[in-house]
Amino acid sequence: MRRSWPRALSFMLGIIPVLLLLLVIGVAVWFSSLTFYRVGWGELFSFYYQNYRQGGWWEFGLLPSIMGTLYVVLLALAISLPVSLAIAVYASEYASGAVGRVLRTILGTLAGIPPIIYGLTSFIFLGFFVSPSFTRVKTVVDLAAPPLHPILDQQKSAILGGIMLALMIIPFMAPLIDEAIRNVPARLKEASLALGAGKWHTIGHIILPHALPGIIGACALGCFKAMGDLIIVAFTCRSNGQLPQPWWDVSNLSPLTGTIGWLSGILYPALLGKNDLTLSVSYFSTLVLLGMALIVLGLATLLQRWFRKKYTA
Amino acid sequence: MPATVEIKHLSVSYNGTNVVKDVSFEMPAGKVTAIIGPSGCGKTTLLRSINRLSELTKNCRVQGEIMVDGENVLKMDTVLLRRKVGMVFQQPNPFPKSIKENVLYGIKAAKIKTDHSDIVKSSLQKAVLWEELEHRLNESALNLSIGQQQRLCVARSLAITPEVILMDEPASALDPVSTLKLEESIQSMKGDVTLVIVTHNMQQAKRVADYTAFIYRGELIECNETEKIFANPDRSETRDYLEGKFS
Amino acid sequence: MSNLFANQAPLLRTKTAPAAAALIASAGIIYGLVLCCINSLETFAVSFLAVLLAAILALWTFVRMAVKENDRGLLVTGAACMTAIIIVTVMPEGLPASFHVYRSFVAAALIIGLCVATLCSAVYRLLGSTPVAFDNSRYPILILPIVIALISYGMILFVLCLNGLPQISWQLISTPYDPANAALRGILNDILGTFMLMLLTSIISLPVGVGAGIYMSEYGGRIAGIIRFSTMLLRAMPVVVLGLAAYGVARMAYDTAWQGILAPDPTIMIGRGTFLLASAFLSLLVIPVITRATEEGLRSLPRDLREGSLAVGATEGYTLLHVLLPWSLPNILTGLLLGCAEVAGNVTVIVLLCGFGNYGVTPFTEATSLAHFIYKVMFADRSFRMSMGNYVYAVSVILLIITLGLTIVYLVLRNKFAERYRAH
Repeated sequence: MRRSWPRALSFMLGIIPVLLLLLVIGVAVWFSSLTFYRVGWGELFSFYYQNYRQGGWWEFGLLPSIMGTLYVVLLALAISLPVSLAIAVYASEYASGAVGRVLRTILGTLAGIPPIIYGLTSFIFLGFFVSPSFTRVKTVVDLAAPPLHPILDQQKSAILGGIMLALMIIPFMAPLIDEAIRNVPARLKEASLALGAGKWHTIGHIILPHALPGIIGACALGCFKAMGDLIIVAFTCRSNGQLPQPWWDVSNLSPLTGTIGWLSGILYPALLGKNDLTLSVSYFSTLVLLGMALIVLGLATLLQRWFRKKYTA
Repeated sequence: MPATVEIKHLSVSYNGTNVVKDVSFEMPAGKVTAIIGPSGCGKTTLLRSINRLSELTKNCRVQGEIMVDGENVLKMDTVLLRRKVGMVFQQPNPFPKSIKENVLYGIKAAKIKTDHSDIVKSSLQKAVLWEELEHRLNESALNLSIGQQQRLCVARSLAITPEVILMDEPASALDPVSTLKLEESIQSMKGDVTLVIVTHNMQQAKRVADYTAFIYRGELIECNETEKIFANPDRSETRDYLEGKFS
Repeated sequence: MSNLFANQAPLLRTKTAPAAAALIASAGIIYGLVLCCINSLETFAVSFLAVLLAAILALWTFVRMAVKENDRGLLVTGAACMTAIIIVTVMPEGLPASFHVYRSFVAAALIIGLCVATLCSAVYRLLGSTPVAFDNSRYPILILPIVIALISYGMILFVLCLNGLPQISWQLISTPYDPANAALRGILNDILGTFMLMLLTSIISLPVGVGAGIYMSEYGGRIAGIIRFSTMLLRAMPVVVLGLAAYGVARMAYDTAWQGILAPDPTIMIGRGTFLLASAFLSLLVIPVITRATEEGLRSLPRDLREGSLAVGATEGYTLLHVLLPWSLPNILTGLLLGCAEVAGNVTVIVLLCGFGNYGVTPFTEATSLAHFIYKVMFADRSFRMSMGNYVYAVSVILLIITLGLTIVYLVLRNKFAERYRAH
């Protein structure tokens, strides 16, 4: 085959993301090498976690944090999926054209809100299910003079984290689901309506099953965003990596990103550049997080393929 | 029970352009009425406004009256209307479910409790499909041939015992053999249900229809018994069209 | 075949019972929402659930008597209501904070859910029990989550504007920050830094993303598969991985030949990075977006346009420059806008690289950005919080103006070009 310059040029440019990806993974592996011989695998994948703030020696069990990530991400999905579905179904099936367009535009714009804004304003929602002593509605006066107290000592709750993460991922999920619903062939919808099925029945039995690959893709995207987010978690969840006592104690639950932030010194600057071992464990934790993201990616791809096969000839 | 469909001064417009202009005629109960005309003349629009599927299209306005069994369609509950007036589309569009689920879809949507296997059998029999599919009821409908899929769509709309069935060029995607089978099933339905068939195939209209309406540029030119229209049309446009002078 | 619809249930004529049930259910939705804000209201949860149960049973009896129909949905709702009463009663109230937290959470969720179900059923009866009424009675299920979500976003924007707008002044925007000089307390360098990051990231990711997109859609093969897999991986990559990797590179560059390019020259702390390094890692977020936009654009290219160009004897390079790129350019540029909004708002990737911006803004100085300002105030530096903490909302508003502005421009342009890129 004759080599043309467009082919050579686009090859050279196209290979750069691959190299950068290898660089990212290589750096993470390189820096976590200390972990491999200073901390055993048995300890890493155990529930024993202790940091020196509590007077003990360092112990790095990551399972409590992995559990925390699962909890927070599942909660975020449990909130954002119904809302995104409602938005998508309403915008594409129930609303008139103009209302749907306005809703889509608003949502598209909201996708531009940076995560740190959600973190910064999470105190608005702090009263929701979080502080038992909170007994009055926040007034406008309260909101006009928000507290700037040290965030590390603020009331924490994984439920608040889940709510804020859900708010962050809804503007990304809803348009994807909306697109999947609009791509359902009109002939199937018409056939269902012509058979005397109502709109709601058609949505439940024809449109949503057909849009399922798209919905799964949207969920996976939301999952990735919620999993990797450090900032919202820093504002809302406790980030010490402890196993909560009792295990359902949401005020004491830390996702993996929180633990990474704490160990690497992002959220605890006194530690920054001081301890090679904690830094190394935080790099190892990013690898664990990447592994979890890969599992989600694989599962989502498999499910999508399966459903696509089921719903097309 | 077949029902008479009466169209009175029907006008349909999309985005302000009139597609159907002041059409009035009657489709007798239990008979087959064919609507013929060149493509783009408003046949399909007319058909889709009978079961109000035209409302799915944006900016579509329907004026006039359509009476099914003496009731004005435009004032009816759309779901109840579509249970009375079934429809078969140009492209076969079975659901990605099993054959049995396809046939029972309307019944289940309407939450009617009856003997399901009876309905499956009788609907498939009327669509001349029972012998072929008797032992394949749980297979996916997407595995069928195009002709079988179209007859399955007919069976599907028969299952909810409609009074009228609208067919929008049902044979245009089919090969000649499948077309014959479809026409056979149309013959077997005659009398139980009022059939309205839109077609641009004049031979087909001649074979299956009792009455024929000729529509040109959104206007009804002529509506009469099929034999009369084909043998001795009143209007010169009809004659020209039937002789193939324009299409 | 006899008509299956011959003995259908008659329509409901009187409407008092459904109206009462609808009223109670709507009151319950409001109560549930207020319960989210005022946790102590949960003491009324059980009594309210009892009222709701009574309303559900009354509606069921009414339907049973009036139209001789057994509404199974209402029975299920009633049973769920009973279960909810038991759950809320059994859940302990009191000492451990988390128990208390859970009780409000569970009670509010249960009440809102049950009330929406009851409201739907009551509205269905109220509208006359026709099939179309059934479709219309599902509106609350769709509207309620949308309204709650939109109110939440509205509250976020409202609070930011309320606190931030009064703080914005020309002095704040036009002064750079200098820790040593009390007179220099502004965010000029943060604003410039944000634009510098967007500029450098665009310069890096535009050719790379377009090149990768063109290679994948035009040439295919094993290498295209590898590129596709890695862009998919980049899309799925948790951002915190990129943040720590960037920090690692900055640490490695310290005291090597790369210092001055990747790590800033007057190094105060090991691990700080330059704008160039920050942009290189931020571009990993943008490259997948641009790659996808390029692919989408190329896929929508009408076949005859491409074949026409080749048929008249144009070379591959000429076709690329004069047909392929011009066609997909608008799509690529709108994708870039979206990427820039993400770059401006991202903190996690550059969190450990950035300083205070007091060395100026060039590609080879210490990085800084508006989003990172908020992080610095909240987490990184106590003295910075003392001096600049008051401006955190003003900075958020400026940041929002930039990111939302970019997304709005993106939406407008995308709608303008939507017709062109609808896949053929």
